Amino acid sequence: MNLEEFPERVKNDIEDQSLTLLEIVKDDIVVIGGWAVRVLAGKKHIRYTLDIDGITPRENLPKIKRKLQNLLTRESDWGTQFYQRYVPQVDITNKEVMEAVEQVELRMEISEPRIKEFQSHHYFEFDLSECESRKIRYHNKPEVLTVKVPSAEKMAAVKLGLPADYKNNFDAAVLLQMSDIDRVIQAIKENNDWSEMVLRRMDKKIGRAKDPARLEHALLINAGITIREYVNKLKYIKDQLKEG
Amino acid sequence: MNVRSAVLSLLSIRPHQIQELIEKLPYSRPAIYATLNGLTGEGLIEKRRERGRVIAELSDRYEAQKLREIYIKSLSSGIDPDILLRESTLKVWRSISIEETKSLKEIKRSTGLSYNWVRKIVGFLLESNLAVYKKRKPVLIVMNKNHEVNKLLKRYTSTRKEDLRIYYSGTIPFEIISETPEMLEKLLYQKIDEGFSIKGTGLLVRGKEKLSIMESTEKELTNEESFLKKIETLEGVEDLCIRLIESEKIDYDKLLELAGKRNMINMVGCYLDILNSIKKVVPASIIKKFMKNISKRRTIFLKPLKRYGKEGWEKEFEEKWNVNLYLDIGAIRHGMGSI
Repeated sequence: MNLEEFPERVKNDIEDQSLTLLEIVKDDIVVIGGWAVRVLAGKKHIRYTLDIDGITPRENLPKIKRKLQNLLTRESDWGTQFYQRYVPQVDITNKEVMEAVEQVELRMEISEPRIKEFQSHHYFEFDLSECESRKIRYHNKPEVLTVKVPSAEKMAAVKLGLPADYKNNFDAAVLLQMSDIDRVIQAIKENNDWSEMVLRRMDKKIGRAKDPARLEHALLINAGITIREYVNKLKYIKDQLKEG
Repeated sequence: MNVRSAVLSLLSIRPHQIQELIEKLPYSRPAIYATLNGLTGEGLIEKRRERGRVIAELSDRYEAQKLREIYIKSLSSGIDPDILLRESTLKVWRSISIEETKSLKEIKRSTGLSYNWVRKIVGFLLESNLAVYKKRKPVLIVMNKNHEVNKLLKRYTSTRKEDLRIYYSGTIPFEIISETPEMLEKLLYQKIDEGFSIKGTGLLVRGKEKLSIMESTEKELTNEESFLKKIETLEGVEDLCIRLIESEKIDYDKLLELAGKRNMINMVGCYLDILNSIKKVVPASIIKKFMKNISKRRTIFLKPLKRYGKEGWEKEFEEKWNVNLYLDIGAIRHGMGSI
């Protein structure tokens, strides 16, 4: 069963419980990944993930492990994944939903503030001192959770250098819509040789966004993003990066 | 014909003022009003006011529009739509097939209706030419595949198979729906107020939430057929096939057999091997089975990405599986991240 098919109250409960985990370490990490895009973009970002990705200085990791000691851990490619089985706090009577819910894990992956490229030495380093505070509302609690996230420009810069799949392409388009392009270019240039990664993946991102047969083309249009506008922004970034 | 069918017959031809229906049909005013109210409640008809008169018309829902076609075609073929659309008639009609002959006893068994009832309904279907004799003694019948009413009924009564249930560790802003043309036609009516696109047609309708990407298939696809269809697309390789594997609903022996028939063994085996090199998601014995059946004919894997060239990691897999690879390994890794 797809999470989409869960009753609304179950979905809300899963999200609330994920946020409760995040609340434990909210002052120690900066949220990146899908949740950061979601927090930055709000309703414009209809693609989101349950997994929470966070970054923190290396010296903070032992402290976070202590704080999250009730959770199970597994080492991942990027850092440490903290997780626990989801235990519903709402009544579920439907057998199919019950079975599906048993597979749900609440996960939080925390790593150093570096997004590394798998096949090469390239990386993007977040400056943890340059973050924004954003609020997330719980569904079933009146409290508001304040988390730290990188700026939209920084997130866009990262997404542009990541693989050109439909998720990254869609995220990049949403983030670019709310970014100052020149600050995106600056963020790319400031980071190691991230511009090489961005340039390497730019043609694919442009080609896939323009191709009506591709999934992201349809998703972008459905989200109200003008393909030509997005492609022009990508081309501008490409030209600026080529000029050095 | 009962009041309901009579009202639907007239409304199938054109919208009518309620007063007009009362004047034209040989039923009482209360009976017609009650029928109209019932049909409105079912969503089959809508009433609107025009110059002080109330007009009744069929609604724009799929069921209503299909009923209109069935009524018109049945009436013009001399078939009583009232009898035709009764639950018991449809039960018998569903139990008859185009390919296989059926005896009255077999129909009785599969419908649970009494023998006499089956005999009566079969008589109606034969008289209407919706079914034809294969043998008269004992009676063996088949469905008349050329009859227009049969084709319409098939569409009207088709139901969607249960969706492939896959758990996603997050939500995605789209759903891919692969269905037969009959089913897609039905879905078009349901999705008209949501966002949808139909693959291969260029039609994209914006919606506020999830986008339905519909693709037409000749028949209902099995999970393995779905996998083979998706593996030739970018989003399939980078996401959807991974989710299918994650769902553990793939029968790898069936997949191997199908891939063999379609000359896709090298491609599928290579793909599973690549996934396993990132994270063990397929038993090694399966990869070995594909390896044993490898074809000498070299294939291109993901041609749409050919123009972007290779990335440098491909050689080992290309040599092992006799394929030309144009996959984006980073995107596949990203797709596997949620497993």
